[in-house]
Amino acid sequence: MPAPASVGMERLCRNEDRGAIVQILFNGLCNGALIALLAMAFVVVYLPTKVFYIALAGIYVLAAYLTKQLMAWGLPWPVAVVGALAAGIGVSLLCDLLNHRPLERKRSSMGAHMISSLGSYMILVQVVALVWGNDPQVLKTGIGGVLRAGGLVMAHSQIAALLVSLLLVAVFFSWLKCSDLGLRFRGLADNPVEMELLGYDTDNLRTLAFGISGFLGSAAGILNAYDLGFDPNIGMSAVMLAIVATIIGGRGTFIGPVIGGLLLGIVRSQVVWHASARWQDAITFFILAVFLLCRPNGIVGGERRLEANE
Amino acid sequence: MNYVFHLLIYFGVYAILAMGLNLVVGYCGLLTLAHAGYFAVGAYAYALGTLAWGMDSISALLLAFAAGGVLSLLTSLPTWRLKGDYFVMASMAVQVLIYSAAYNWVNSEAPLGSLSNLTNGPFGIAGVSRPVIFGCKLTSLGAMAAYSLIVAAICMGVCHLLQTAPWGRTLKCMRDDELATKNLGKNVQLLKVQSLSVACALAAVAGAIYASYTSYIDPSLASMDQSILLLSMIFVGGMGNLKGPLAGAAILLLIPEVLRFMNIPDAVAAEIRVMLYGLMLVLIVRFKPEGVAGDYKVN
Repeated sequence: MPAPASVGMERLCRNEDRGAIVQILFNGLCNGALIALLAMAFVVVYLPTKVFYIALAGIYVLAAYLTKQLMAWGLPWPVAVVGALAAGIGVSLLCDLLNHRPLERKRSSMGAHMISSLGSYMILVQVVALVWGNDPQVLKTGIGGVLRAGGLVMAHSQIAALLVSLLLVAVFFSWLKCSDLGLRFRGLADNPVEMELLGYDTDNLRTLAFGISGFLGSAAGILNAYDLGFDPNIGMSAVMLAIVATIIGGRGTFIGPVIGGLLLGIVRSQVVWHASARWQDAITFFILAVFLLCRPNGIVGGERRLEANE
Repeated sequence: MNYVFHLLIYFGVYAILAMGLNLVVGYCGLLTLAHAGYFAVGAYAYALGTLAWGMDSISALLLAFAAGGVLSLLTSLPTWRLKGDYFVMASMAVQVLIYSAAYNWVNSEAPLGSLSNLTNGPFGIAGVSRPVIFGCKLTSLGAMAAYSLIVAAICMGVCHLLQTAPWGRTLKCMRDDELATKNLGKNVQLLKVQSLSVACALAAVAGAIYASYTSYIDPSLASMDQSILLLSMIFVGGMGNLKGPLAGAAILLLIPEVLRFMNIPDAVAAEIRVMLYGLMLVLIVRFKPEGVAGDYKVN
């Protein structure tokens, strides 16, 4: 039987441990919410149109830079954010009108869409780098406020990232489930050919998908820029994470990417705690490989045969 | 003159890479993003072979070839049944894993090339020596260019033989209609494994030449940007025959040189170059899906 003093010590250690665990969990959730938001933006285009939307990475970066630029011109931050969001939506719609709609008319394959989107990503990012330079930037000035609750330290930017992304995802889901347009949208995601046969205007629905994706993607870009900072090349790694989250969660559904994103955020922060930040990407993509091998439809995807011509 | 030799060496390296990638993308219809990873595997195998394990140039080159071929199983076996964007994702995972291995397999106490310090991590490996062929060292740039072009020509010959052989025709058949090929009793999975291993072995040979020319290698060889550059090459040049990848390699290598002669300031030249690559990809996919000189339409 241990002496009382050592019991006290042990309890203290355990409490500290628990504090650290909760803190890491919270950090993971914040990062995960951002990944989930971007994964949502990816899957909104991917499910209805089967376009592998890499240009999203360009929009993600562009929105962050535009916000900073508009604020530097003396506009108040809500106006700057709205301006950047509008620009993100606009660029996304342009991508659809100039690239993907003509390709779809030609009944192009998924590979052609993907290469075309990759090309637009390269153009977008290099335009950003030409205009604003390649140096890392931050959106917030100073250290930023901190909220303490118990042993938990939460930066205001983290709370903003978590709450806003969860709110946006919630709004999107209620739109998807409750409105007539949302129902059509789900129909398009389920079976585009049959939607067309039933006489719905699928072209406009596809454009809507690109618009929503531009909105969610630039929102994720701004939130991430506010929380962590940005440079022209972060977009690609962020979108790659979002794609991994989509596959882990299950890409046949809209809810899968959200679950995958949150899980991925938590796992990645655990890796930093237990091993090192250097191994984050290796572990992430190892998980992806395991999922591709054993459960290619993801966590909520269920058992379904992979289509032969996907 | 040295400038022309320099360009010729790079052309040899990228021509080999593009021809290998053509075997996978243009003949199997599999979009791989892991090709730069195998380029780095070859470069590292050659550097370690000559610097740490005391091999001569020829056997180090063969080691790189074998390493690329064997490690291609890393892509081909897990993706045994995958197609389309599942395959793209899986190859992306392989690429990131190779990059992470090159970046993290480091221990500053252990000597280079031992089991705990295989790649020297982010510091890279410096001082890779020029190849020694039959007792004479290729110190001049001209000799190096000849070496690079001769190896490229040998690889071209191998690719030509493979593509005109029944094996190559079966590959084309599989790319155009996999179900029908299966129906004819061909083992399509085995064909994919074979062509991936040839392609990766070729990429590793290109990596070995590159390492012996620049004498310094680091993990950025395996970056995603490299893979994207290689994909742009064969999409711009065209796929499904031998001249497409060669044209692509030449075009994408010449663009930065043209920019240099147009007096574009160095500060923006890199951005403008990548922007042009992106623009070319968009336009090619939209208006000329078979590329500049290719046979296979990515429709």
